Amino acid sequence: MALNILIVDDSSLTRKAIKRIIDMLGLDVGQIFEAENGMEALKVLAETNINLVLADLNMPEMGGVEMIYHMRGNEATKDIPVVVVSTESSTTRIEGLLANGAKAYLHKPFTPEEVKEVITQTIGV
Amino acid sequence: MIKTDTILTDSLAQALETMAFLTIMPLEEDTAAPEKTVLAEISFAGPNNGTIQILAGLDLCRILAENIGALTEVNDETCYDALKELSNVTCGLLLPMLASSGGDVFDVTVPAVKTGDDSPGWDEFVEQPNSCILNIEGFLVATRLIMKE
Repeated sequence: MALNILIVDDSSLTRKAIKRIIDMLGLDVGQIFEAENGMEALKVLAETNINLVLADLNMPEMGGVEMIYHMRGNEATKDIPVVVVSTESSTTRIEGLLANGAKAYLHKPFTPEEVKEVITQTIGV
Repeated sequence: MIKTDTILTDSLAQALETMAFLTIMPLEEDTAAPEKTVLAEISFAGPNNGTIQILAGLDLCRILAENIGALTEVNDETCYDALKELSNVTCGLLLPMLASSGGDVFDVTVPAVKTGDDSPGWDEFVEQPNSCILNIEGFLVATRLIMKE
């Protein structure tokens, strides 16, 4: 089954960079959707069948933590894996994210190899 | 004692190399300062509080955007986005150097950018305390790490 992926980041450039890397990975990807913040992401999730979310934390309007909280409280989205892609380095905060619904963590700046590794491990291919 | 004079340059160098394949080079006397500047700013609060500022010319911002996104054509908004994201990643690399342990938690603002008349001029910016001038592959950039009590 082709994967539909949602990239959530307030930087359009970062969304483009992640999209380009995903395009190069050779995965069976269906559509790649984009959102500028958590609020937009929840709208996309409500209207679309998404299999994987890659989300930044620090965004205007709604950040990644709040977005994950809303996703986990919704029957339709609670099982969709979320990979947090952020500059966060605090082990306390990263452990908190993983304990509260994030499936994996990818630190910015990232290399294409790191993106590939985290996606393949998260979706189990 | 935190060596605040070098950690911003070290963090910026790492961010530039990983994100945009650009390198900080030795300063050369004949390198011209940018005429139209863009200022990116991001603040952090936690065990230490402060603000990071990066002042660059639009030409360098364009190269940043092209390299980060593998793009051939970029508009001004994308150039500003590139400098904002560079400041964001630089801050993320700098904070562990300020932290006393890996568990230290910092709150970070969403990076902001000032352009046009809102951006400070080159001379005005580099005259401020703690400013540092760098040569990024032929383009001058100025940075400041402002630590607060």
